[in-house]
Amino acid sequence: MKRLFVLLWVVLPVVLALPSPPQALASWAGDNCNGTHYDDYYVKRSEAQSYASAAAEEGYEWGGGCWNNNNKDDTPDAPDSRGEGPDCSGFTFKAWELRNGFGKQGFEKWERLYEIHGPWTTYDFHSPVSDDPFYKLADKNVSTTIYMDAFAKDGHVAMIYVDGDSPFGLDLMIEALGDDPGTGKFYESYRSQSEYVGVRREDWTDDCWPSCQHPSPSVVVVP
Amino acid sequence: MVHAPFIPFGRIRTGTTALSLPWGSGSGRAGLTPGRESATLGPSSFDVDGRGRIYLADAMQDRIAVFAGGRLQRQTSIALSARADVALTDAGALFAIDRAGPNVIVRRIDPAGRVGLALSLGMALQGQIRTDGEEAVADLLPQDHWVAVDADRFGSLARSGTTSGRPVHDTQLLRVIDEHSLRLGTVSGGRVVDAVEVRFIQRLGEVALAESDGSGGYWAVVHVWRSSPGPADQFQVVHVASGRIVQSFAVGDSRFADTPPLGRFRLGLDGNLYQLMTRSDGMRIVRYKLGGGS
Repeated sequence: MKRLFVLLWVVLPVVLALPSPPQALASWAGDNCNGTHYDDYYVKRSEAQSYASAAAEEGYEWGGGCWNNNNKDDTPDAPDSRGEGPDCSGFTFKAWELRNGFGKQGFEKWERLYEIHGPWTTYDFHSPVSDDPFYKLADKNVSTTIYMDAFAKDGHVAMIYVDGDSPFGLDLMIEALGDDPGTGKFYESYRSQSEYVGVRREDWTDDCWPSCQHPSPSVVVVP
Repeated sequence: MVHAPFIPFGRIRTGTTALSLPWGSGSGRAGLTPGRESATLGPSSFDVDGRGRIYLADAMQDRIAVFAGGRLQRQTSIALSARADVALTDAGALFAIDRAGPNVIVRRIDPAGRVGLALSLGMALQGQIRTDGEEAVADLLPQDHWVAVDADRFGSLARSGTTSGRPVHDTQLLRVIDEHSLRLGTVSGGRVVDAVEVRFIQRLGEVALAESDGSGGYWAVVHVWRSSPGPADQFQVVHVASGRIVQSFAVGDSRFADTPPLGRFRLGLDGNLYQLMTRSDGMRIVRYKLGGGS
């Protein structure tokens, strides 16, 4: 018995001092991205705008697509770590409620905390093909574009946050701009830059739905 | 109303290189973060003092670097975002406007290179920063209001007023642009004076620069673009005074990094126009001598 006690006395500290076995590396996305997704119908631009707006100040992650809504980047200065935030094409994919597959039509709601990027890159947004659920606009005039349309080049894509340009000629865009500036609203000159094309998601439901057909209420004049 | 001369796309003035830096890390290089499904980020802004010295907001290296004759004179370490905008005062102080989460902040670097404490201007979207004498004027968006920021003798910053036009001496500079016209004016004594509308044949983007020429006229740089027959864009510089175009020329849009749109041109305190251009191998600041006819 005494020999066993001595053995434990000698061996136990050595065992405890050994490095613990390797564990799976934790990531912000692994710990936080527990959202879900589901088919969606009658999706309006205003809903997409609101969804995108919640991503502002939530960071940027290359290949990422998961964020909360606490108005801060929870993984600053930690690029490529499965941190918080989308990249620009993943942000557009989720805000536009695209389905996860080339050629798939319809809308799919991806909750903020569901981690997904989608299959489209900026190249795809810049150069849509016929079975994509988005298409290139004929021009980029202010009168042609509508909010939540996008400007895309091979390398970046951003969505128009509000209609109409500013008094100094820039558009207020919402975009995942990069690791440093993160995701947010920025005034940009993409409309004027020749590398960018205008792109529109198909099949939005009008913002006035379901009241679009209702006539304005009659004005009753009380004598 | 005056008509700006039509300048075909590609007929541009090249200017002379005032500063050329390759991309990279270190004092003789400019920082770059290549875009990966995002914008490519590089220097965010610059300004030029009365001696032609260039103050570069090298945001990716968190520094303001001062160059004279293409050589580094000094640098100040300061955390800058890729959207920071800077402007110099006559005495050599530099103001920087930047984002801090949802807030806009202003900082001042005194002529000796010391960085003062930041002043928060509250929640807003960042526009641009310019100077009026020794104070800064910061454009806050989307309201498009200009907030004046003063520094006391210890360098502490405080707000000193808000105007709808950009304060310039005791007046306010106004600028409005739409798809084919640029309107400029000055508010003086509660009235708009020296108002002018400049019509362009080409489609317009942003007003990249609008400055008073000090004699009732204006210098402006506007982005012109087209979609067809093939996409093209460039910038057109106009000097308008006494109701006529005094000078106009076009400059190119050499853009590798996504420099913020209001950080690309400066009317230097030396009286020359400067443009920040980027290519795959590095950045340049190009000088255009102003004056003379078109």
